[in-house]
Amino acid sequence: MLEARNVTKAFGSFTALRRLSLSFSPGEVTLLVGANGAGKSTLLKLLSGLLRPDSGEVVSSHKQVGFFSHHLFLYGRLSVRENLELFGAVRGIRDIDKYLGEMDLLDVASRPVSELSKGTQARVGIARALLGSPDLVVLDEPTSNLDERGTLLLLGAMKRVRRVSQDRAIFVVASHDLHRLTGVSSRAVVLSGGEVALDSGNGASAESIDTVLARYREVNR
Amino acid sequence: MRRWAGIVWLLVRKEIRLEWRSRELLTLLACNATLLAVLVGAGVSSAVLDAPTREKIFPMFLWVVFMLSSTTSVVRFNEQELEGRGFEGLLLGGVTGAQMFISKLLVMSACFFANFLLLLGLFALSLDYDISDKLRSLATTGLGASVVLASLLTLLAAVASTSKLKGVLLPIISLPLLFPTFLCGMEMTTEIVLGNELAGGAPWPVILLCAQAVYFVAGINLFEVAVRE
Repeated sequence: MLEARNVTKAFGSFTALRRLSLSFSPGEVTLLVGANGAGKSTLLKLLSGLLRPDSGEVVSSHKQVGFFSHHLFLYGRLSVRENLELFGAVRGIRDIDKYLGEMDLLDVASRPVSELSKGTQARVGIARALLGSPDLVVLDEPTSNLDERGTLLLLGAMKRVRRVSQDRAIFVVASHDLHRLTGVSSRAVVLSGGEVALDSGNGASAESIDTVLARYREVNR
Repeated sequence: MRRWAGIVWLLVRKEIRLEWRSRELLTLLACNATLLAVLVGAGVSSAVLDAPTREKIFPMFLWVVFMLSSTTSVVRFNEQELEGRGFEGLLLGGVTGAQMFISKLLVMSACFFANFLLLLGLFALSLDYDISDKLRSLATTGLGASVVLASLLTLLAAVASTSKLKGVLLPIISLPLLFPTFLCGMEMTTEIVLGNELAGGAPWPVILLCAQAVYFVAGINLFEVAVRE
């Protein structure tokens, strides 16, 4: 279960989210879109538990959260393998090679993360987020530094998490990359000014997702 | 409990690796301690003090330099956590603030203790004072004080980690709070230098233990709040 109830979050005088309510069902892949400053990243941090709301509440029953953002949450001076071993061991995972291979990182496993390109760092960050079988996966702009191959690897890893969780894992993905992520989404939510502007609803058809995204594109043209 | 301790051990290994590769804390500690000790030693040598006087001032110099070098060297202790947002990654993975605090405390205590031993050697050399027969007692006192310093500074370094003024803030906030520890360390070292027994009714070891308990409990409970904020 994952639900944001009347959530408000402000940073100084800027209100990022205003009495926002959203619920997410098991197995759902929600594509969260909106202009810069619409409140996407704040909502993702609240859903993952990294931030606490000023008012309202986030109800979550998830045991393992996989979170990816441009911050990566990695140690630059540790190698790729050492990073994944550390975060894997915390989750009780020993076999790291499987996850290194999944994101095509075996060749760079012994190199420090800080010496890698942005795209490779992003793949390490995704591998860290999707270690094991998280039941909630929150991805903030996962494809922004990825090439075509990196995106395919991401989609493959997402598929593996869905399979392992028997289609129970919830995915919430914020992205401007509508072209590459619409295909895997089962719902589209548009945020504007910290509020839900459009929502295709749970288990929406491809057509209704396209309609929501088309309206979003129109407004932002 | 075993799994809990296992995660602490994992984090300790991570801290050691990061410190070994960056050598930020150890290098700063060694540089600050050596610089201060050499300056003090040179001042004492030029004053041409006799042996009994040097013996009397040894504890004071040792503890002033230990406190100053330790509190001014922890400025970059959490820098690598901040660069990659490692704290948040660990919290997301289910690691608790208490586990992070204990792992950092252990590594910082070891670094401070190494600094104390370095200073013992430097002052023994510069003041021409033989400490070989008192080394064990002095090291025990230094170890106790190192844990107190590390307990407080692990927490304060996390609180001040995002401040641009942390280089100034950390010594200003921590030194008054560490004053009882400074007094205890100095008094206990004086007793050792004079050849007296520590357990002879003196309150200093008890005060040191109380300070340890207070800062440890505060750190365990507040570290996660400091990291999240």
